[in-house]
Amino acid sequence: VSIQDPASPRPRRKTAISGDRPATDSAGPEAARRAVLDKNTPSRTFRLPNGKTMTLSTDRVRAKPAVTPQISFLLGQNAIGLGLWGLLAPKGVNRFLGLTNSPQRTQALFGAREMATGMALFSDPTKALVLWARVAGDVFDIFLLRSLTRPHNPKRGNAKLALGVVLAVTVLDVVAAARMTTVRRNGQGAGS
Amino acid sequence: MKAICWQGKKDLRCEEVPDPILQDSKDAIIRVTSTCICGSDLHLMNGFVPTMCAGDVMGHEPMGEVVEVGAEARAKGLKVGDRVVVPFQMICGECEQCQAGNFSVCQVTNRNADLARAFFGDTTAGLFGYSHITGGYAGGQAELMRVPFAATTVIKTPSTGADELYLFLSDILPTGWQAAKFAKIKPADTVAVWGCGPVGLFAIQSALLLGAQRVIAIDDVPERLAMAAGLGAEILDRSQAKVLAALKDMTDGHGPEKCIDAVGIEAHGPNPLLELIDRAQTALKLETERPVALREAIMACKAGGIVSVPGVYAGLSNMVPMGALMNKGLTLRTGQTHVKRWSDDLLRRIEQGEIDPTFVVTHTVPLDRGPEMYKTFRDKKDGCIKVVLKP
Repeated sequence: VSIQDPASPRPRRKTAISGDRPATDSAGPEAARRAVLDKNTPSRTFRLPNGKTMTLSTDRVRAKPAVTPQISFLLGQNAIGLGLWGLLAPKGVNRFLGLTNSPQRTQALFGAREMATGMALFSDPTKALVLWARVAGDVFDIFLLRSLTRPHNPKRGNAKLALGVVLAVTVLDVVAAARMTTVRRNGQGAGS
Repeated sequence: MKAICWQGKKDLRCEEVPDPILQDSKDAIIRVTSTCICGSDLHLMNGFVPTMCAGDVMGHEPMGEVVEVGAEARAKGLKVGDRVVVPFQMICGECEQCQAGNFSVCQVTNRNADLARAFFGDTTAGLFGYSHITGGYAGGQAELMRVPFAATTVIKTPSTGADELYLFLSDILPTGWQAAKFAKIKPADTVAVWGCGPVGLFAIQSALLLGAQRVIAIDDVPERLAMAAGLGAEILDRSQAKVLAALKDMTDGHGPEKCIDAVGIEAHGPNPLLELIDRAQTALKLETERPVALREAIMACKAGGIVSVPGVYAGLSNMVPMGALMNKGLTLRTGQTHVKRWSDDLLRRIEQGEIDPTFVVTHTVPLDRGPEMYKTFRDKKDGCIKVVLKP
């Protein structure tokens, strides 16, 4: 069982997979409940930090989990983090990349851009248009970062690192945008 | 078979899933003939209810025909061909809570009871298509569904009559009814109902049936207010008036004796600034819901009155006026609906023509149009009040 919501508690360590039931009560409702967990019920038992165990079950009747919405949601969270960096510490961004003549408001604009797309995807990860807008922003960032990897920049190592990260994120943005654009929700959208 | 599946926040798809099988002798398999989109499905879609997992089958308001029955369910009288409504909760009928009529907190049917205890301090019943806190059971927005504890769970209906006549026994009709019953309505009472969605409309209808002198319906969607007026309620358009002041004016300065919050988690208002504050807090996980209607209901209610809450809440609410609740001596009554506590009475009233629940249906579409209808329902477009899906 994969619990998707970040607010839900995440058991720390898996100890057994189905069949190994936790011994909390020996009779009554607990026993009756355990009796309905059969071999067709996908279940996992976890050990909690306090030493107790927790069994989580799901239903065998379920669709193949789609990956794109999770990627889109994570891209949104990542963008919010970058947005906060740009908005709250524009000097820090300049220092990290070796930008000596860039005004702070340029970095603040970068932060605002990331924050806007991040919030949009955080509230609705299915927004393909926002994902494509991110791709456009990525292209701009790649050209900018490429210029910062030249030998005259003493922080070119950081710029190369940032360029690598942006390239990786761009790949995710393009894949998520393309798949979110083409997903069909009326019976033919499985697994995208 | 096809089913409406949750694949992430605001991402629903009609997809192929494995057919259900009998997994226990108490099970039955139902061929779903009609199923609905509920307001609380919107909370699931929008990510307000934790522990939804990608691939989960949605839906908890189905009805259909029994096509396969386990041995124990058969021994208890359920047979192939029976026409049944499937309540949103499954019940064992034998535990302490079921014996007390508190079916929505059955102690046996939630197979993820440990998780429910972690969230709520005790377990709830297992619910269909309603996150893993309530058991992670596949829901009824599908062509087929497995019903555990089938003989004790389902409501048998007459073999004649449109599905829509009985379908809402699965959830929204008994939910509106329970809201009114929990309010302990007396003949001189004024009852204010926040939200004129399907549950609110049934709460209004129930309050009037149970003898309320006046019912005030509060909403800002014209077609919903018109429907409430058609049932006999006075209407309070919250887009045109300040709710608390208007209610005081309408009730000699004291407020309604009974207040029903049929809105729940995702309320709007009362003004853009306060709504923005709630939205920011939910985004930052400082609270999990926007309890605007609950706050207003508590503030509006006459001292010594009852606030009944059928609206769904999932986690933590900020700025709920506990001082008003305590100092006015209000009684707060809430809970998921104990469907089977009310279903016999409601079925009888439907058969006698006293209640015709079909008035709420505005859209009937094939199952594979479910994902788009979720958005139509959420955005209140096209006069949408209740969507029935036909698998």
